Amino acid sequence: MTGVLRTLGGPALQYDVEQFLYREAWLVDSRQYDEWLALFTVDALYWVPNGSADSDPKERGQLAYENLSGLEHRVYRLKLPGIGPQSPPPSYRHLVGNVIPAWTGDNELLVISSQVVSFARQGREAQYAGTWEHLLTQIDGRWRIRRKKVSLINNDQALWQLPVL
Amino acid sequence: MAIEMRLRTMDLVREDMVRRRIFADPAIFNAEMKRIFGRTWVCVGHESEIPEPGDFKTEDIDGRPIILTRHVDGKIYALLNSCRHRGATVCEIPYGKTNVFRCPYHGWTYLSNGELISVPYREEFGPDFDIASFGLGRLPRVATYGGFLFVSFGSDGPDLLEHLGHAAPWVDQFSGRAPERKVQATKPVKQRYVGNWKLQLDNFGDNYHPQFVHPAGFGPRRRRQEPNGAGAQSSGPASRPSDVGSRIQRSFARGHAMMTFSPPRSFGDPPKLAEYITALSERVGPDEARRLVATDLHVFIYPNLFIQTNMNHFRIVRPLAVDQSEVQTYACRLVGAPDEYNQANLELTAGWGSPAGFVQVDDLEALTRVQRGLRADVDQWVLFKMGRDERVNEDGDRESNSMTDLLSRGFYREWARLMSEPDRR
Repeated sequence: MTGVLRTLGGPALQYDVEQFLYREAWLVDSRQYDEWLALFTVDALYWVPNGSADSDPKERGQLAYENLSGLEHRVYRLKLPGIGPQSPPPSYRHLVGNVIPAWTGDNELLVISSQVVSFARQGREAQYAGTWEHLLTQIDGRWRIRRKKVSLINNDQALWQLPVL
Repeated sequence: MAIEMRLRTMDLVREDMVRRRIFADPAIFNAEMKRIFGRTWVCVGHESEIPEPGDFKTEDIDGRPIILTRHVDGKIYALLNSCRHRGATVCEIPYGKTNVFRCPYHGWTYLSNGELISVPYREEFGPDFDIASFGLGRLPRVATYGGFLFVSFGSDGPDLLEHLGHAAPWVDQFSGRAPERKVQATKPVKQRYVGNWKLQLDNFGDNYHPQFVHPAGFGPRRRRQEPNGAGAQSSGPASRPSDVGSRIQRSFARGHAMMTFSPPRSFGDPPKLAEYITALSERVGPDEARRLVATDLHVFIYPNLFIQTNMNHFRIVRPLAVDQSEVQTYACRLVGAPDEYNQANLELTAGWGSPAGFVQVDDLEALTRVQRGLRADVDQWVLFKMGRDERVNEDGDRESNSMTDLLSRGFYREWARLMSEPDRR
């Protein structure tokens, strides 16, 4: 199994991983949140650092730092009818680029990408850029996210309500 | 002055309603910055953020950059972050530790008490140039109470203790919940919103909105990590007569206020709750420990500090413009409580205050709508009419046990008092 995985490399791996990131971004942008949630492993961590990319969650509250049940609550909120920040919902689009995959274990692939998220709601527009880190693993032949860390370049500032990153 | 006339003649604040204009008029905002934030005591954080000599943090009040330092004499100094030579900021780092602040423009160098110690090519300034008279400006007043750090741009007026008045003992309860009677503030989570700063105060003091604004509740349920199940339940009986009842709200002089929920709204028990209560009991006894833990105390120090004991955090509101504000949420560790307990509160508090979180985003959305909506007719009124049982208690403070706008009415009495005192120059 693992040997097979690690033979994946070069253009084939690059293509596979890019397709995965595009699909993840599309699930978020098109509000298919349950399908998005299904991409995460049961032991997943979703992390948006506060203050700097190397912000220590033991020392400081993070913009997001949650396990799968936290993510489930996030999705529950996103789908709840009438909840303030989602009524009307914002629109956003992720643009994925500079994708660099690197094997970090037998079935563990670290993918670093640069992403830009354009946000629009009620006439207010914003752009968020940063470094996305996905720690991927394959389960039943499909990529799953074990850890997702989104380090915004302006995470030291007071930000308005953020889109799903 | 035009604003003087308007404040006097416009009938802006009545006992149970205020004119919408005070949230939308830039001239009134500018007057607030002079007469409220430029004069009264303003909270800028917690002294545990700068515990050691050389520690500093930078802040900004009404666009005026300041540095808060702990000098080698152990004292805290509030300095104007502006070189006395050409005016450049001498520090652009939010937090740090240093012996000196060196202006990047021409190298003027200051100690952490603001004293100027080095001017390159000093002889070129001539023999009469007195380096001792060009230290960094200092804010007229800086003081702490209960660990909270306050500054004032006004050189006169009541000292901090007098300013806090009847609110002071309630501020003490924040660190009073820590087994070692000390809290350690962590660096804040910050969030910005399109709305006037006073809207956030009204939202803090409003018990009417949660079921409408927070239909998803207050966050994911905590995972229980107590080895023996629930640990101590945070619902022990109140031990003081004044705490009987589900809710107490009091409005004090100078706009301060307190409010308690007992038993507290449950967010699920944090891990190691029983161990925390045991540690607190060693100092205050088991009955008082249970009473403290069973009470969710909110304290409001006008104009910009909100303390909430249930998750051991405080928030600071920063006005940026008439329709732009920032809320800083500071999770605090209770010194002597188990790490797991403190860590769970840190994470939950961040989730509340984060722009990617699950509570304050709801409130700030409501405030954004208020800001947009009240412009429909700024001569109309915002209503603070709730409260059927308001009374004056034996301490002379207004008190209520029902759903009430008591707190906001107190905020606007203080607002009117401060705003009607003419500028002193």
